[in-house]
Amino acid sequence: MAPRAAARLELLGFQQVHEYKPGKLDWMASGRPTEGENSTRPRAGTVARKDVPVCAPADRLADVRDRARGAGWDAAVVVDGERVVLGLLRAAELAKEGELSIEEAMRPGPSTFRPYVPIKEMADYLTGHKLESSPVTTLDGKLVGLLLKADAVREAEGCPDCVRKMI
Amino acid sequence: MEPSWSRFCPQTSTKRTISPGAISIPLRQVNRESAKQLDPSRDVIVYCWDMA
Repeated sequence: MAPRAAARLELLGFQQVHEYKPGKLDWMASGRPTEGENSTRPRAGTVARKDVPVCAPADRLADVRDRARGAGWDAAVVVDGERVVLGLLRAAELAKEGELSIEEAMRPGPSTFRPYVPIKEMADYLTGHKLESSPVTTLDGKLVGLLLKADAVREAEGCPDCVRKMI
Repeated sequence: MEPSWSRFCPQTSTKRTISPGAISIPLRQVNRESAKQLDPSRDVIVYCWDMA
């Protein structure tokens, strides 16, 4: 639609018309602000916890476990220097014994979701797949936060029509 | 000067989310009258749902 709208505006005399080719989904997936009635409804990106502990592949599991638990978490997200998600440590991974590095202990390549996904869809997915949490990332894989199933289910109860059509 | 953001999709609804400050104009309603909402002295950025 945008290329045709741009062409139409140019015909109407507008001199400087630019296309934002990736479109609104890209805007929302990057976690940028939006307006409109639906913009206030809960989504993966707004409910995800931004204070989730992060660590690097070379870190020691014991250190990360102590740090995470000390902050009240039983999960941590493994990221690179640009916060691109590499792996996830849920309770089972954090509880592994031995002198392990994070790279050895982590669950690599976890499923991730974009910030615009409506919370009811997230609650249904996490429940259906028996996942306690899932990372929320931008389109280029950078961590936005960790969405906990308990949070998603609670928010979804207050917004049963928070599904894809509201985007 | 800040550009003017405008959303051009087949159908639009005020309930839908838009980028802050964007003006929503359905594609079929792009004409001289509706274009008066846009400042011709500013750059106009057009977008829709996705790349289509």
